[in-house]
Amino acid sequence: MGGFDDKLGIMKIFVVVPVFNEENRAVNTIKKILKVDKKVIVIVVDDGSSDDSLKILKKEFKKNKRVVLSSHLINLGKGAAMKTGAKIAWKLDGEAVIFIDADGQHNPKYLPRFINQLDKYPVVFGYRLLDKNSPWIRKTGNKLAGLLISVLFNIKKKDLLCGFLGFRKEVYKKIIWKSTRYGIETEMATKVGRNKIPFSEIKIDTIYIDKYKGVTIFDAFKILFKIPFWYFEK
Amino acid sequence: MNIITLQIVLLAFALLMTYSLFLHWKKKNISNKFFISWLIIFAIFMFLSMFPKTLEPLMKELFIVRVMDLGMIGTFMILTYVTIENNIKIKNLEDKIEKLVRKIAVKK
Repeated sequence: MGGFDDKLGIMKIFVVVPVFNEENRAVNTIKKILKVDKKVIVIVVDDGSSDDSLKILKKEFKKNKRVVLSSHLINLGKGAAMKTGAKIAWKLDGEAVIFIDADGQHNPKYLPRFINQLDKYPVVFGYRLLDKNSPWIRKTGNKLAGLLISVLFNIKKKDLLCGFLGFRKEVYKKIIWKSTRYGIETEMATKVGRNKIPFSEIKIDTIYIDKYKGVTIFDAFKILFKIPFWYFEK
Repeated sequence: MNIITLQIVLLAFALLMTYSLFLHWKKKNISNKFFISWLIIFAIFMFLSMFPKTLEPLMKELFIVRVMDLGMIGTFMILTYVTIENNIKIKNLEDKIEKLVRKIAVKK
């Protein structure tokens, strides 16, 4: 399952974890990832955290050969950190990357399924099912945005905002995102749709850690505002 | 506020901005070209504030009754232009910073 055994012809897959001010949760998330797959290598990109995230990560993983630590001098946003992670992966001869948020909202137990699906599809998205306790505005917003994206970009995706996703290097140039802070996942989906790239979806747990972090209602409007720009983009 | 008071306020504003520009030019924060361009703009602004009647032929041509209306239209046009220019420049700057920061991060 996944990993780096070239003799067996298995794809070289890196797990990229963008970190921003997650001194309390990042270490735990990375440890869980390392436990789930014994061969996988984790690329951690600290996005100019103002807390002690980088210090703690260095202390914990500096000597760990399965963890590549990198950091931005200043905060550029999650999208930029993801891009840096992908660039490092390609530099290390990676063939695919899987992104996991550092705050623990993505359960690494699904990693083997992502790795498995990446063998068959160039892009794999995670999706969360909104339960009846989810706020109505979130449900309605998700449905409307989904409808708009499917009409404009010809892609039917169950969750437009899920950051647990992976793709193979061969499609990187086609789906490379410009967003640095909001809507990276949605932008990526629009490009997958536009380029008719085959993809697979994997159901993951719905875990909300911090309601003030992640996508807020204001971010949702910003994403909505960006959709026409993505549509007219070449 | 009568027209004379408004003219004084506009003149004071333009003089203050010119002085601010002068200080930045002296500190070499701005180029000669930038300084002269803005100096000309504020000179025109001061002239029009003092002699608004010089705009009457133009107002007649554009069917505008009050100088204030012409001023508002002109201001909106200038502000829109400056906002778009600033937006493009900031985006370019952000892209350059992002590339630089990434280059350093990947090298490490």
